[in-house]
Order: sequence, then C-alpha cells, then structure tokens
Amino acid sequence: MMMLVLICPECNAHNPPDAESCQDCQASLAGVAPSELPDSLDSENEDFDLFEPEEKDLPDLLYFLKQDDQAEDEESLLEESGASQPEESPDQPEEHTPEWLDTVRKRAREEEDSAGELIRRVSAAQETLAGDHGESHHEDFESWIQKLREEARDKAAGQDEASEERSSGEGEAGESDPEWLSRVRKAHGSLEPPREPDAAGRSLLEWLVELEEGQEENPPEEEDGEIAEAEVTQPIRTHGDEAAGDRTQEVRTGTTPAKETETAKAELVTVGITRDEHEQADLLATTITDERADRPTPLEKPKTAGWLVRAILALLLITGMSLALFSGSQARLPGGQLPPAGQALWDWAAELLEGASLLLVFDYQPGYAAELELIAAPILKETLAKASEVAFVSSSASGTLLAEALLTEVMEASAVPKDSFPVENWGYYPVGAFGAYGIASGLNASMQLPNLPEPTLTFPQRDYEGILILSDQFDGAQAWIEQLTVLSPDTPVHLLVSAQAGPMLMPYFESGQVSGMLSGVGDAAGLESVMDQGGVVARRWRAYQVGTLSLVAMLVLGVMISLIAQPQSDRRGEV
Amino acid sequence: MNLNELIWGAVGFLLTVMALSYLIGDNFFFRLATHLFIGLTAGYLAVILINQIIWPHLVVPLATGTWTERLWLVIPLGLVLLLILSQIPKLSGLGKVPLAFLAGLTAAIAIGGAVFGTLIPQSRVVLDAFDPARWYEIPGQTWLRILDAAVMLLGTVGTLSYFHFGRKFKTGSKDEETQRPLLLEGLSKVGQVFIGITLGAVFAGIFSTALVALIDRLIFLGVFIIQLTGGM
Repeated sequence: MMMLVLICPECNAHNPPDAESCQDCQASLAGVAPSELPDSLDSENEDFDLFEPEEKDLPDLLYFLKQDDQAEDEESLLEESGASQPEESPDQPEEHTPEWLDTVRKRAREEEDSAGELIRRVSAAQETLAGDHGESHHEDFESWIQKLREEARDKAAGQDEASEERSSGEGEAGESDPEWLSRVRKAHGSLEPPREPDAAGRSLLEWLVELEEGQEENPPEEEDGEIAEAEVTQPIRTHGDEAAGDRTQEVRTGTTPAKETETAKAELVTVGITRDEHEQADLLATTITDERADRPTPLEKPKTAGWLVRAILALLLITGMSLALFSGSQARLPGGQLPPAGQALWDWAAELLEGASLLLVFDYQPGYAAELELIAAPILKETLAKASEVAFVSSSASGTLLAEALLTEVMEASAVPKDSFPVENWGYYPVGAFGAYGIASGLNASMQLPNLPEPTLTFPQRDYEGILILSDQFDGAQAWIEQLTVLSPDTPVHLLVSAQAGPMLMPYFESGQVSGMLSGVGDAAGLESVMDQGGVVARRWRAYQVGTLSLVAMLVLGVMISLIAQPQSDRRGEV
Repeated sequence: MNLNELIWGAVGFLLTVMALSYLIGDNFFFRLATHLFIGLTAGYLAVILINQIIWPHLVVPLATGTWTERLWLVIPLGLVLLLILSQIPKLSGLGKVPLAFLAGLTAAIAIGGAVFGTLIPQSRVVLDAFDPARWYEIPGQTWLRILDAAVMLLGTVGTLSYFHFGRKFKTGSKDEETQRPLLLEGLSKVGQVFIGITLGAVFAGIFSTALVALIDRLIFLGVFIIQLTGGM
C-alpha cells in the first residue's frame, strides 16, 4: 500500500501531505508535489534498507549516501549478471524507489559536478557535527561510530586468516568504488581507504568515519609520500606494560597507519607527540636520572662547634666590656677638639639667650635611646637652663614617652624645676614628612591660609630660637631637614643623631642647611671632654673602645681562619 | 629598691638575657622575647594612634567643634570610611580613592623636599667649592681648598655616572651593546670607590650604634645585679 508524502526540497525529509513547512528544516513546502511511498517501513526495509536498527539515527545525508552506494552496487551486480536477470528486473527497483531518489540518481548520472555537491554536503554535515556537540543526534552518531570501531577491531583480531583469503578480491572491490567517491577522497586530500581484509565489505559509512578521524588526526600526506620529520612514528613501551609483555603503546602521527602488534590481543593506544614534546620528555628523563645519580655527600660539620665558639666569643666580649664598665680605675675621655659640626652646636647652645623657645623633634626608637641620651643630655642641660618655652613633636610611636623620660632626666640632673617653663606636646605624626611639612608651614606665617581646619592651627606659629632633631635614622632626619630648611629657612636646625645616621647627614652641615650636629658616642665623649665635666660618658667610652677592639680582633681572626680553612676544604673536595 | 622597681627590673633583666641569648644561636627564649616585643609594640602603636590622632583630631572636633570644623572633617572622615569599606571584597575598589590621595600627597611633599631641600642645595655646594674667593679665604690652604673642590666634584660626577644605565649610541660589536660609553665607564669606576667609602662609613656607624646599645644593656644588667646583691 502506498502513501503520499511531501519531500522537502531542502533536506529531503518526509512530511505529511497537508504540511505547509518542513518539520525538520522549516523550509516552505509550497508548490511541492506529493510523492508516493510504501505505507510501512517494514516493506521498505525488505526492499533496499540494509541498515542495522542502531544506524537509524544516522543523519539523513549519510543515510541516503549509503543507500545510494548500495543501490549502485546492486546495479553493477545486475549488469554483470547480464542475461540471467529478466528484462524487467532493471525496472523493478524503479517501482519501489521513491521519486526523490530517482531524481538524485538521475542528477548524479547527468551532471558531472554532482560529486562536488555531495562533497559540499559531506563537509557541511561534518562541520555541523563538529560544532554542535550538544545535540542528541550527534551523540547518537558518536555512539554509532564507536560501535563501528569496536566491530572493526573485533573483525581485525578474529579474522586474520579469513582476511588473507579475501585479499584477492580487494582489487575488484576497489574498482567498484563509484567515481564520485574517488573525487571526494581526492578533494579531502586523503589516500585511498586502507585495503584491509574486510575492505570489500566495508560500507561508505565506515569510510566516512575513517575520513572524519583522519582529518582530526592525520594531516594530508605530501605528494612524494615522505612523512614530515616531526611526524616520525615512535613506538613507546611503558614500564608498566613491559611487565605484561605483550602490551604495546604505539605513537602514531601523520598518516602512518597503525601497526599490527605482535599479538592479536594487543591494545593499540594512539598518542600524538611532536618533536618538541619528545625533546621535553627526554629532558625530563635526563633530569630524573641526574637527580637519582649518586653524589658526593658533603661532610657534616659538627653542629656543636658553632654555638660553642659563639658562646666563648660572646663571653669574652661581655666580660671585657663589663670589666671596662665596672672596674674602679679612672676612665679617661679622648682629648682634642670637637669636630666642626659638634663645635658649632656647642657654641650655639652656649650662646643661647635667656628666655629662648625651643622645638624638639623626637624621631628615634627606644633601642637607640641610650646613645641619643648620651649625645643630647649635655646640650639639653645647657639649653633648658636658658629656655622659657619648650615644645616637642614626635614622628616615632614611642616619641612622647621618650621625650618625657629624657626631659625629666635632664631637668633633674640640671636642677631645673619642672614648672619653670611650659613643655608643650604637639603630638605624634606617623609620617614624618607630613609632620615636618605641617610644622614647617606653621612656622612660616606667610603660608597660613584662612579657614583651615582646627588640627592645622595647632601647629606652632611662632619663631623658635632653634630646632633640635633627635633621630636614629638618616631617612627620618632627612625628611625633617628638607621641609624645615625650605619652609622655615631662618630657623636654625641642629642634629643630635646616632652614629649610623651621622655620615649621611654630614653634607647638610657642609651646605649650611644644618647649623650643627653631634653624632655617636665619639662626639658625646668629645663634648664631655670639652665641657670638662666628669659624666656618664667616660666609662662607656672605655667600654666602647674595648668592645671595638674585641670585635675588630674577632673579625680579623675570623677572616684568617676562613682563609686557612678554605684551601683545606678545597683539597678535600667539600661542597 | 622597692618592690615595684624589683619586679620591673627583674622583667627587664630576664628579657635582656633572653634577647642576648641569640649570641649562642636561635632559641626558644629569644623567640619568646621577640614575639613579646612585637606584640607590645603593635598594641602600643594602636593605643597611640587612637589616643593621639583619632580621638583628638577626629572624634572630639566632630563632637564639640563648630559647624565649619565639622564640615572640614567630612573630608578625612569620608576617606576613612572608604578605606574601611574597601576591606569588603566587593567594594575593594573604593580604597583606591584614599590611597591615591595619600600616595599623591606623599609624593608631592617628598619630591618637593628632595628637590628644594637636597638636590639644589647640594648642587650649589659643589659649585660654590669652585668659587676662587673661597680658595683664598684662608691663607695657606688654597691648594687644599682646590683639592677639596676637585675631589667633591669627582665624587659627585663619579657617583652619578655609576647609576647611569645607558649604552653607546653606535656599537661596533655585539659586546658593546651592553657597555656604557668609555668616559662614563671610567667615571663609574671612580664612583664605585666613593660609594664604597660611604657604605663603609655607614657600616662603621651601625656597628658603633649597636655596640653602644650593648653597653647600655650591660650597664643595666650590672646595676640590677649590684642593686639586688645590696652593693649599691
């Protein structure tokens, strides 16, 4: 029984006779004449459908291509059979062939470029499959391809003997390939399909599957047949598989066909590898081998010797310095004069007028308090006795505590009453440059702007007879010097700094930006010598000398030991 | 010595000994003293910032100041809020505003101070050293002044040349592409000498400062022991 269907001119899909547009591609079916088809698929399968049920989900194009291929094979067989077939037989398929199929076949015979149209459709179908992995029909197609692969492997493994017998007929099967198929192969730059034992029985679909795989894995082979240098096939046998004995990993690149393994049960694992990757793998292997190589182990030095030597040296140093500090003998201060910077500071302090106002900047950490107190105490004693107003500001977190402690100690030592003059605290400035800028701006009356917020108005807006900067670091003192000497150039700036900051700050005295400077215990000892007062510096100066000599001796001794020990270790080959 | 002095003296004594124990190597007591100092410093710094900056310069003016003062404080208050809000991951971009303000302000102050407080005055000193009037200022020291000026100029140019990282305009070989011009190369060698002398002086200063700090600690330990044993 026949039924009427509308065949889509775009995708050849079957549609009900009353449909206005294609159910698959939504193309318009206006003007399309209905065609007659068998009523059931069973009758169709009985006539010319040789697909397995799993192959029904194949895309329509491949489906029809296979049908076309098989139909032509049947026609060629019929032609070869000649008179054995009744005369009506060539017309027999025409009775069961739908009209659209006849149109396709007629066009393939009449038009020379019909194979080109097929190529384009094949390419379009492959692109669709490659770009739309999420669609269900592609998943079905993949599963079908997987099944074909498994069947091919099973056949290859189990039919070795039979393949030899069938090899004689391969030539005939190859000759039976249609002309358009050869054009497709040529257009894709592919070789002829491998003449495997079952090649004669392979369908076009299997070849298309291989073609798709070949485009992904195998670039077109050069015309001269030589494989590119970077695509050399390299069999790699893994360590784990060596134990199994017959399992081989084969590296296949380019268009080199898969080699048959030594045993029929071998499992082929295809790994793509380039020359660069191969070189990297070699480098890694070399590195691992080098890491595992035996090396001369360095001789372990006795761990106890290090801390024992340090302990002995430290004990000697502390003992020597303690004796210098606490021995009853009279300590002597260095004679001579103060350096020019120190002398200038002392002269300024000695010549300071009564009722002077001073600003103290505390920019040092508690760890340096001992050294700075040695330097600052004599100057502060001299100046505080004449001052009528003192203010201090700090750019270190503990500056306020250090200032209060130092001022209290100096006042007690110089017998200056605490309430004899006001001591103002201008606060703590975490960033020294900001504090210096604010203080310096406050000292310069011309820079005052109206309606400034309250905090800026708390800066001292008066003329000071001098500013004393107590600092332990070059950077901190430099920030204060740069701002104060530029924004308030008429106010003399003096430095009381640690020995580590002194050398770097000396140029500011040479340039006249700083009026005087004292740095380190050496200047403190010289100042005490100039003042001709027995103080706390003398004993410290003696201990300082002992400590310096001890450390210099240790340095020289250490260098000599290392020079002596180094050649011996070189001769022993120690690492 | 009263009880208060005894307790705090003992704490100071123990902490000093624990810090000095590093002389024989890193150990638990040294690390304990270090961590204690770091923790105390952090806590003290937080208290100082609140007590001396946030409270007197922000909170009190906001509470008791005039409207003009309050309006002025809106600026730092807004910047503070932006900085706090930037700690929330989604609002981290807000922190760019106060940080940019801080960085710009610091750069402006630092550059202004460096140029007008260091670069120009120091350059002028080098130039003034070649003033003939200064050479003959003190009789008998003329050649010494000239030598002093020459050494100062040589040291300045040499040090600046050492930090010149250019290369030759025209290079004859590939090796010369990484070499400075011959004149700068020679001056940079001279600059290395001056830099070496300067760093040596700085090292000596650091060494001296550390030694004075050690002396102070030894005095503290000695005095404490003497007081504890009734010697003083």
